[in-house]
Amino acid sequence: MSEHRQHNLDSEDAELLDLLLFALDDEELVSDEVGGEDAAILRMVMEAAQAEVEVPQNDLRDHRIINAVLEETRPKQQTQWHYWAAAAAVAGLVLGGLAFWSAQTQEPVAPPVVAAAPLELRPLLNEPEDKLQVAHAVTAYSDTAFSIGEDVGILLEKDSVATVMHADTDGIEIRVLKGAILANVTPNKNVNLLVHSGDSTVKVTGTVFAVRAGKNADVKVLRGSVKVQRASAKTHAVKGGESLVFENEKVSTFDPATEWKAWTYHEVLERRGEKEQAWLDVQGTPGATIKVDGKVLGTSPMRVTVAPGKHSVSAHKDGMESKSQDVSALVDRHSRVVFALQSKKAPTSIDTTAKATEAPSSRELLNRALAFRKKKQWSKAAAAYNDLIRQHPRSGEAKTSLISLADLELDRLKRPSKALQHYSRYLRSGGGLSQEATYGQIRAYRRLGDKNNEKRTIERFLKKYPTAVQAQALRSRLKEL
Amino acid sequence: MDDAKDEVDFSDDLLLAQRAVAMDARARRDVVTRLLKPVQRIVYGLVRDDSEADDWVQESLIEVIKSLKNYRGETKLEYWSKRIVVRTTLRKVKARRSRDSLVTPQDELPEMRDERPNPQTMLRRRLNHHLSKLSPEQSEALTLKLIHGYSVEEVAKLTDAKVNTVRGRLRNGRALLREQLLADPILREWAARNLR
Repeated sequence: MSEHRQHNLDSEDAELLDLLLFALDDEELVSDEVGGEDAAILRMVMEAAQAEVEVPQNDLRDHRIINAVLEETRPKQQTQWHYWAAAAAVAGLVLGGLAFWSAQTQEPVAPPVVAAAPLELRPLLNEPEDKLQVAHAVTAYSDTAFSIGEDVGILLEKDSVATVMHADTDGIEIRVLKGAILANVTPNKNVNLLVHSGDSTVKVTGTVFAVRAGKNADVKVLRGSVKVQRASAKTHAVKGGESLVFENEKVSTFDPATEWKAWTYHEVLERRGEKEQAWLDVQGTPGATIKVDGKVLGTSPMRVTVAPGKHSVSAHKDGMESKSQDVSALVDRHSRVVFALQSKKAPTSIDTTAKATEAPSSRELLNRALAFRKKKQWSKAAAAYNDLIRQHPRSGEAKTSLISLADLELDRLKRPSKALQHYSRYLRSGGGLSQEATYGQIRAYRRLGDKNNEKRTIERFLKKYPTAVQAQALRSRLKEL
Repeated sequence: MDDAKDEVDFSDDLLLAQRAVAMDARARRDVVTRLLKPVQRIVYGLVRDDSEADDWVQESLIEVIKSLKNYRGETKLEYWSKRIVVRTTLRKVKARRSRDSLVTPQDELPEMRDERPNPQTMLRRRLNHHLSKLSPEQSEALTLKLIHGYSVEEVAKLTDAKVNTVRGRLRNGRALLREQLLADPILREWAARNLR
């Protein structure tokens, strides 16, 4: 085909005729019977038709299409379970090179009626969270360590790619796509973990082992034992200190201690049980018994390590008025709680209010949330928004934060029911972001699979905002529903 | 040729596709973003300035994502997805064929009536106009064969028709189209002014 050329009506005849000489090699329309001007017309028409189609630039349209496609093809929780069941069902089949993908085409078996709770994925290394996408599925790249729930720690070798396909209380599935991972599973906790590499699957309940993908794909068991299922339906039990090369199914031995140390950041797996922490520094009247969430923890002054979030702190001392207060403990922060207890007989009008000092302003909390967002530390951002909303419920920041928090819960933390609460709370008092909030509700219902409410909310949305950007997509969604 | 290099390129595509299939949100977004423009070009080329073209683009991309599990990395992702896109678009167009044909008559689209279209736009518009006068099957076969460069066998596969049927559609359609194009006064006038 002749090269595509731009020209306009003012072009020189010569240029147009020149173009004709390079005319299409399509001899089917321009046959021998036609010649002269006729042939020229036909050639020019075909030239124009075969030139690359110009797509008018429209970012909004493109954005809408991309989001609609992603939304439509988003893996659903239920589907993941189907896949899980299907994968288990076909594990014994001869699967071939891309066994895993063909497994997905199997008809899903009837899902058992089990409400599996999703497990949280948390990065264990102090580094940007974007290496680790906390989602239904997570892809982790080189030198990353993360935990899945309480009992599984995963470490990725440099330049490795692994995907968590599924992680809930029913089980966890990981595929090593490139490089190797080290998995550390708490023993005796009945953790159902499958690690796929190529056409092999390593099944484990409590152990430490490394799985490698690629040419020399293998598993090395550092502690405990694993079962390896090959595509050929063959299974192998591999014990601590043994490794199995999938390809030739050859077992050899190695020193687990050396292997363990060879892994950069291996120590983070030992620490993975540790949660995010916060501290309460309880001060004031000395010698008062301090209870946190109803548990006696000691006497003031004292420092208490707590999980971030709201805690009820109280101080009791014989002959004094007891005091209690709800305190929000912020992640990685020391929150000071001061109890100035008064003698029981003393007048209570004196200011004895216990107060948590260092209570940040709404603006500070908002900035904190924004900073975490920027760093893609979604859980921390959510915590900051929550603090802002709780501590300064009447502030303007709190109001708009409801939408930000809801979006965060929905899109990043995959907690649609929480998102729904925040959108609804915003809508109860109304505001300039009502359209966004209603659209958010629709998305949340969809994520939850609540078709009735989704439909109702779409109808409400279209009635109220018929010309909204999302209206067209919602109308077609309504048809599906 | 440089087979090894080609293989490496496609294995990147394959890895991306596998990640997308494994429910990796970022990989899915990468695939959709990368394929958007090529898919738009194919769909716009097939249905021209149809008001529903964007819907077909969306549907086609969804089909491509759903079919990613079948991608084996043997060809470039864009090339591999083209067939799916053409098929999906044709299927959608067929579904509403009772009221329309594959090609929307361009003369009826007001936004396309710019004052001085370049020759290419004008020529393409005339072709679309005449294609739309053919039977839907003929214009579909001609569009795929002449404009998208599919072989007769491929056209047959894409349109769920027998090879001989497609040959017939092409033969008859081509004769009619040629006749119409050469009898088009606008084209005649343009040729008289520009081609000597």
